[in-house]
Amino acid sequence: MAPKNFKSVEKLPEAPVVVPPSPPADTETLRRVAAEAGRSMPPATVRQVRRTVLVNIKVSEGLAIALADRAQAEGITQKQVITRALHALGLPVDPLDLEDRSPRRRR
Amino acid sequence: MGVITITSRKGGVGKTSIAVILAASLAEGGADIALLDADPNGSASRWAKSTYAGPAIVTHAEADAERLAELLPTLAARHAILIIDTAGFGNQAAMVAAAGADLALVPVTPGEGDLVEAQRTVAYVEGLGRSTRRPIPVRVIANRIRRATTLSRHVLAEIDKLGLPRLQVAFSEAVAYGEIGFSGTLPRDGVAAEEIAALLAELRQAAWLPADSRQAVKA
Repeated sequence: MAPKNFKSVEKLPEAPVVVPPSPPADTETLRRVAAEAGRSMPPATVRQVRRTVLVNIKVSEGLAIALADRAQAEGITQKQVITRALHALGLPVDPLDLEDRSPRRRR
Repeated sequence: MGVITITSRKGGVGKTSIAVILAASLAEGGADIALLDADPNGSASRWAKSTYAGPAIVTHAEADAERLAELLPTLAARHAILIIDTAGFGNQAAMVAAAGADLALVPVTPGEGDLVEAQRTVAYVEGLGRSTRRPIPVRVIANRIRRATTLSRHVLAEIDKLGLPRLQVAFSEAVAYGEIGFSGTLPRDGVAAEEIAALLAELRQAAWLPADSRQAVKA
């Protein structure tokens, strides 16, 4: 018995942890943990509100086709092809603009 | 190899302190080490970049879970040891950091709430290990212990009674630990220095730290 009449902490019942079975930890495994196991948890970061605008440019059909071909070949979006090129030119490209942020259903 | 994640769902238990102490003491020993700060408040990385005065520590700050999922295996492959600090609340980045760990350390300070949250954290890490089919050793480390007090004895006894696996070493409530945050240097003597050395020795003995951590493992 503990001295000074300290009370004991109650042992918590062992609750099953609902997370999907996964292969050994690699990027994909960790991504799944992030995407599925932590849905009930708050995000680690609160991103600042980012104002976005639409840029609509008219180009020749040949360039549009070339852009689409390059994006398909690299497995990225057409927007990423453009933003990466702008980034390479030294323009201040927001890191989020360099990512594929299209809805999953479109991928 | 050698990913040690300091984690607890409770704030204020000393996760960042233990993370920077581990990183700095290993760096002073010549280890090829990286410090990954997955806590959005960035205390560990800020300390490493601005205050720390020892041998350089490769430091990254990444609290976004998806980006962390990419960065963690990359750094783990590049460095002999990777120390990860996490936020004091359950979040996705902390889960990713725990899921990628070779050892999860859960600090506990003398408090009823600490013990409850330590149970939850240990259960969660063990659950992550089961679900990823990759057992993740987890150890509680008692922190801010006042030796020879009834309270500290009670807390240590409670940890054992609850079946929480704990390290033999425990950190005292020594001023020297708080001073690290401002001086950027580790204590050279005294109780804190002895406890830090004991922590490294215990981790090495259990093979959670590589015997020779000086050589980088390049991917």
